[in-house]
Amino acid sequence: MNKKVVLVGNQNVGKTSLFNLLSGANQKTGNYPGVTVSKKSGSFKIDHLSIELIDLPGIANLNPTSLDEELVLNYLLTEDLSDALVLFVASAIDLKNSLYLFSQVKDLGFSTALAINFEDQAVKKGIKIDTEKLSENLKCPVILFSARKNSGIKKIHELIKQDIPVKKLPVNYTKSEDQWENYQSFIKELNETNDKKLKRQEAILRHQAIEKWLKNAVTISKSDATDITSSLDKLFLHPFFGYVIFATILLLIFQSVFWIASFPMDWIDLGMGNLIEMSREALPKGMLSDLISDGLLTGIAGVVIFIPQIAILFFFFGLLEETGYMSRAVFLMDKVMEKVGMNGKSVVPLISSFACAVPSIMATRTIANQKERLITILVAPLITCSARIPVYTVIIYVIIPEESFLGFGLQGLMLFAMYLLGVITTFIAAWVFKKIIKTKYKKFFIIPMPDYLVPNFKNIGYNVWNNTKSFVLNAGKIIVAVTIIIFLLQSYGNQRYQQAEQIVLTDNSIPDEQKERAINKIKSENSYLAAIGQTIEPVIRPLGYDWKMGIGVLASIAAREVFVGTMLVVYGSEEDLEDEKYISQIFAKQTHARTGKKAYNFATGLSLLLFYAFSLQCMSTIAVTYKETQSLKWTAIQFIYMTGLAYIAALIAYQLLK
Amino acid sequence: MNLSKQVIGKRLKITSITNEEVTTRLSELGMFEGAIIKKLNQAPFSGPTLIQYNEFKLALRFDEASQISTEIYE
Ligand SMILES: Nc1nc2c(ncn2[C@@H]2O[C@H](COP(=O)(O)OP(=O)(O)O)[C@@H](O)[C@H]2O)c(=O)[nH]1
Repeated sequence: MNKKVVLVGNQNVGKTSLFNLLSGANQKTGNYPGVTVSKKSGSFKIDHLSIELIDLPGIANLNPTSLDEELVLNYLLTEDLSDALVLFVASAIDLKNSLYLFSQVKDLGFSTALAINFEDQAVKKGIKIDTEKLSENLKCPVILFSARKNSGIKKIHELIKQDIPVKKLPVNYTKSEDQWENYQSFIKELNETNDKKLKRQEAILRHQAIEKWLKNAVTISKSDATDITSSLDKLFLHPFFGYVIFATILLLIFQSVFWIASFPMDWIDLGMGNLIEMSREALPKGMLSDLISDGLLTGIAGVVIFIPQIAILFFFFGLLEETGYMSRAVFLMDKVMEKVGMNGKSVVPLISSFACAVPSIMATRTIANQKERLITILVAPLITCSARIPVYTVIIYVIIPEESFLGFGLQGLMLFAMYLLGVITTFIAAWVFKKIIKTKYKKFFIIPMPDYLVPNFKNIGYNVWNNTKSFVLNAGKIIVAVTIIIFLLQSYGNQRYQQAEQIVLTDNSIPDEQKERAINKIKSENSYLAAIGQTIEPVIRPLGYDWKMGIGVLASIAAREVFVGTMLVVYGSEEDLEDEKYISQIFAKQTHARTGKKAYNFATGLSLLLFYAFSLQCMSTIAVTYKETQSLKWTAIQFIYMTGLAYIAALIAYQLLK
Repeated sequence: MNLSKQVIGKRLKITSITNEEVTTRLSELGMFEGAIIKKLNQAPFSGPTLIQYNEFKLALRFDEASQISTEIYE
């Protein structure tokens, strides 16, 4: 036996908590097809009944002003819910407000039940709800529960098992009996014509009805509990200290994502490195061994390495959401971010981008407005992520003298300038996208402000688990696949590639200890990846790069930090150099394959810096953008605009300076 | 005086709303002309206004708050 249960309700009524309680770890998160709005479903069993649980986004009412609301309305109007139960989740503290949407949903004519959450808070606030009377008034089962205290879940199970008959509420909000019979098509029409007068009339009648339903069912004894939220808000929303606190919180999160994550990341690095070594030794030498060690395992290592950052970021994100602070961040930052088409909630993901764009893009999922979420996703990779640092430092060492200006080292100033450039470009790009992307919705103008609450760590745990899982399972696949492709392009090549060993071993002028390096050099210059590098040479020539640098740029598609290592192999140096100054000396010695001049002078160096600042050379980001937007179009637009910007900036810099 | 300019911490009565869209949205929340609200906070630089109606706290953008006329309610 199967039954579908659909959770509907306003924002912040505890739908997510109930969803977690009911389905445990059996959850799937995804997107609604074609849009950046997240979708959640779960499954569980009550006795022998298999339940499919759908969590719809929290909405204000059935007259959509955002894509979320339209999705919910469309879902309710088009999905076959004849055998399903619509479980409406309401808040005991704010029952009046909840019942507006409830009465609208009930009038659509589904089998509906009302589950009122926050029983614990209601008791504290002296709110008494007589569920029997309310059930009589609303003509459907009504129960009280608390998702936090885990009380009343049995009653919800009982509700789900029942067959609840469809009963209409007596008040007719339309102009005729006919319309009332077909409230579904009435509401559809009302939203198409947008008859504001009719909507207002419905609002007045509904609120009158709600007053009547609540009258004999709810009593509020004035409690003397002080309103902690209001006191806290005086501080957290203070026009000065509010911002200081917000900046401190962001700084702490940034430090954590960056720093705490570095420990597990080192372990993973070490562990995966050892695993790759072991598999190299254990497997018989040959193509298969290489494929497993350098292709597959390296690809998996590239996925696993992201887990600490993603998990830590989502922990903090969950914490901010759970405590109710996130809405305050929106309140404080809304004005600034609105100017560039984003949202107060975009600030946290953007800050996280300094560490890595991958968790940052995933974290945009909490931005309800789809246009703002899309813009945040599109611009987040412009922020200087940690993978760019090795490239920046080496090139800056080569092209900027070790001198100081007004007491500041020039090299440090240059690095700072690169960070600043990233931030400024992010805001400009966001502003441009704001102008380009059209939506039919005005940005929300009502932000519900939930009370501060002690966070529920179980909810945060589910949040971390779901996001990490979905990263590994979805984006992870693409990352592993691309790593293997790049590996294959590097490990096959022309005749010279295949004879590399022979050439070097029979060449007596090369001392023995340098033979392996010489083999690697010949291979890297003659692989298929190098062939592609040579083919695209005409394209990168105007930027001042030779084909060798082309190989580095191409290999960086896997991840930017690969550039330095790849170049060292191409230049025939030892692979594992730690000291950036020493590396930069090797770079400084290289000559340009075409001009014969220095390969890394100020012009080519700056051109490279700009190229790396803007181009989207990171398949993990591409994979995550695709996963989060579910749109090839936007994934392509992001790649093309960033790479285009990189090319033009590098071109201008080189042509002006050469 | 319009809501965005009102003093923080006072109980206010909505006297009129000039924008039809805003009127409709607020009426869905049960806020009609004559409703008593409380202004809780105002973000600087023409940022949002935080108000409370019954148990419900919500923020309105500056543009919308500017279209709501209010008077101090004793
Ligand atoms: N005190 C209390 N807090 C709750 C209860 N149910 C949920 N919460 C908290 O209310 C906040 C919003 O809950 P959430 O499940 O995210 O609501 P959603 O926005 O409807 O999905 C979270 O901080 C929850 O921990 C409850 O019964 N009692």
